[in-house]
Amino acid sequence: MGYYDIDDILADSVEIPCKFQHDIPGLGYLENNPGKPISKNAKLDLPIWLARILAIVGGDANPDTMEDEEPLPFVELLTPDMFSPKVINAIKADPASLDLHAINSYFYSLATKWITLFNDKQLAEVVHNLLLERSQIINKYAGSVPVDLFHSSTDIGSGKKTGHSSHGGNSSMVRVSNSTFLLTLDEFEKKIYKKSHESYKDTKRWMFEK
Amino acid sequence: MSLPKHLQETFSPEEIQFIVENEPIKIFPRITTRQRINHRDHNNNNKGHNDTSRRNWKLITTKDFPLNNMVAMQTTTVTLWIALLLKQQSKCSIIAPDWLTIRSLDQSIQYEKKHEDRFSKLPWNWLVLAQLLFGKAPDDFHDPVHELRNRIQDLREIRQLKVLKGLKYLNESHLQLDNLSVLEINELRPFIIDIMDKLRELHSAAHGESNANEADDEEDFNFS
Amino acid sequence: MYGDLANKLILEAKRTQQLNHKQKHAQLPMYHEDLIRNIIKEVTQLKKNTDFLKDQQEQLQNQEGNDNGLDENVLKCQYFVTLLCMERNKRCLLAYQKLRCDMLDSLAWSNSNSSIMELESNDLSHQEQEYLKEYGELITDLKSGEWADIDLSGSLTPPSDVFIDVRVLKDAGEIQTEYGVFNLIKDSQFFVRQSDVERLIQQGYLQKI
Repeated sequence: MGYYDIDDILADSVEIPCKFQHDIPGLGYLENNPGKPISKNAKLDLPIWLARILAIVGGDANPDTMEDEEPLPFVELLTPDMFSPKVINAIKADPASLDLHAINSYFYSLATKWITLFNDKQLAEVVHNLLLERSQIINKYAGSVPVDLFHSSTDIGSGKKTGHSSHGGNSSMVRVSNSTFLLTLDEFEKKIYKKSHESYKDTKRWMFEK
Repeated sequence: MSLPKHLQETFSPEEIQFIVENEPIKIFPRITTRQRINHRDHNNNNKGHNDTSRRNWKLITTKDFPLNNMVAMQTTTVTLWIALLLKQQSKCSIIAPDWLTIRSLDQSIQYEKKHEDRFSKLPWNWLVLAQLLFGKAPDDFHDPVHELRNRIQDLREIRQLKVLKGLKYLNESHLQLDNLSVLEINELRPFIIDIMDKLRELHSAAHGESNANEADDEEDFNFS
Repeated sequence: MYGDLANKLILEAKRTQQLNHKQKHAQLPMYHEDLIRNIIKEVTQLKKNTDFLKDQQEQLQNQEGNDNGLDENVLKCQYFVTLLCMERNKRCLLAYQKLRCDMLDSLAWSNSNSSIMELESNDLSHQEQEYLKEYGELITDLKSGEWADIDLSGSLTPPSDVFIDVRVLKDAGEIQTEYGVFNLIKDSQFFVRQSDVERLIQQGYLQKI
């Protein structure tokens, strides 16, 4: 996370459906109609970096009404597909076999943004469970490090190999090299997988060399 | 930042080894360091200092006390890296710690099997120390090294399985890792930190806490 | 749509990031000068728009009646959208540049002079070349200052032996150490003091065995 975070910037560029609550002339370029107005109740997809703010700030619905009336935001955010009841139910039903990458490759990041916007505790709980459940599987894959990796490696550069093959076999870890599960990871999960895999690999290499 | 990214978040196993090598261990020296220092005698002849010719070694150490002097066949304690260096030159044998015997390891394995939700009380550096001694001082054990190795490997696998089970209970606020050793924690650190941080992020997002991105005390490691 | 060009740039940055995760040595793709110039052009255009909108807003405030077709809400919304587009472009530009600068930093620390030479001629923008040069000078200053006794860009792996066996990977001629002269001929092996040859290991002349 952070201002310079490439992944966060990309997550911010994901488009979500919005409904305009005001007539705004001249904004037609947002829906590829430069010069044309956008009319009230028009629905269009806007990137989060734009929609997020437009959903908070707004003009007064009617300048003549009382001053303390809540200003009506320029757009109303509509629930995107990835948070629709259908998808949420699929998430609840079977987190393990879910193709999160297909739903959105920045799912966790977007969910966090969405939860922040709406203080959506229910969604938070769903995502919490999703992450916990999937992280167990990710961890299993990350921990599976084939031993022969250390025989052919050139960058590790140690000739002191002992002959104890018992170090390699690790019955507690699932041993699958090319799994379809890894293709279903979203960007955050991928990052975790890579980092933990490196860590397990380093430790195993060290154990092997000693 | 000059420190490569992979070293910013966790230690490399080599760094862990380095830390562990600074711990004391008992050795059985084959040399005596208190000995006549001849050239000193010559230099000091006319000053009459030659009666103090038995001198102690004083080596610089990172802690504020000098290296213990060694007398052949009398056990003494030195830091591990010195022990390994002396061992390499056949100047000492290393006395394996009490827990690193077949009997004691079998007890630990029993404990691990009996208590599903607890780790046996091994020293914080058990895995690293065992690996180092197996590699560099295999002839100093009373028990056959391959059997010790097998037991260490068994212990590691049982404990790894328990860790995997325990990860189901990760949450956004705390984690207790009693009796888990430095290398075992280090190996898990990237995974646990990232997951817990994301859970914390979700939690603060749902509860309208600002500064959702300000990472502070993600973890509560509990050594004992 | 505004921001599309910036998106392209960020996707490029993401590719760079992924590439460098896989490869050990940092590889910096070409600086996207055209794309960046066009994004900056877009920002300039957006700036003009905001100035125009601000003018209109002032006009509106100075007028009593509200009959010239100008609507405060509309102006406000247009103004916000324009500002957000500018900010988005800015964030993308800065993130792209930050990623490249970070990579230049680690390159400057990595001691591999040859790869720096390669880069300087090709893929860096003029400013980046300047940056790399000056950052390199800063590092040199730091190394020769107070901490001259420590090799700050030395190996980060804690040493376990003072003397090590090394194999020569590339001919490197003669090197002089405290323990005599070694003639480094490919495939020969030596037993040397680790601190004497650390640099040669980093540069790929020697391999620890």
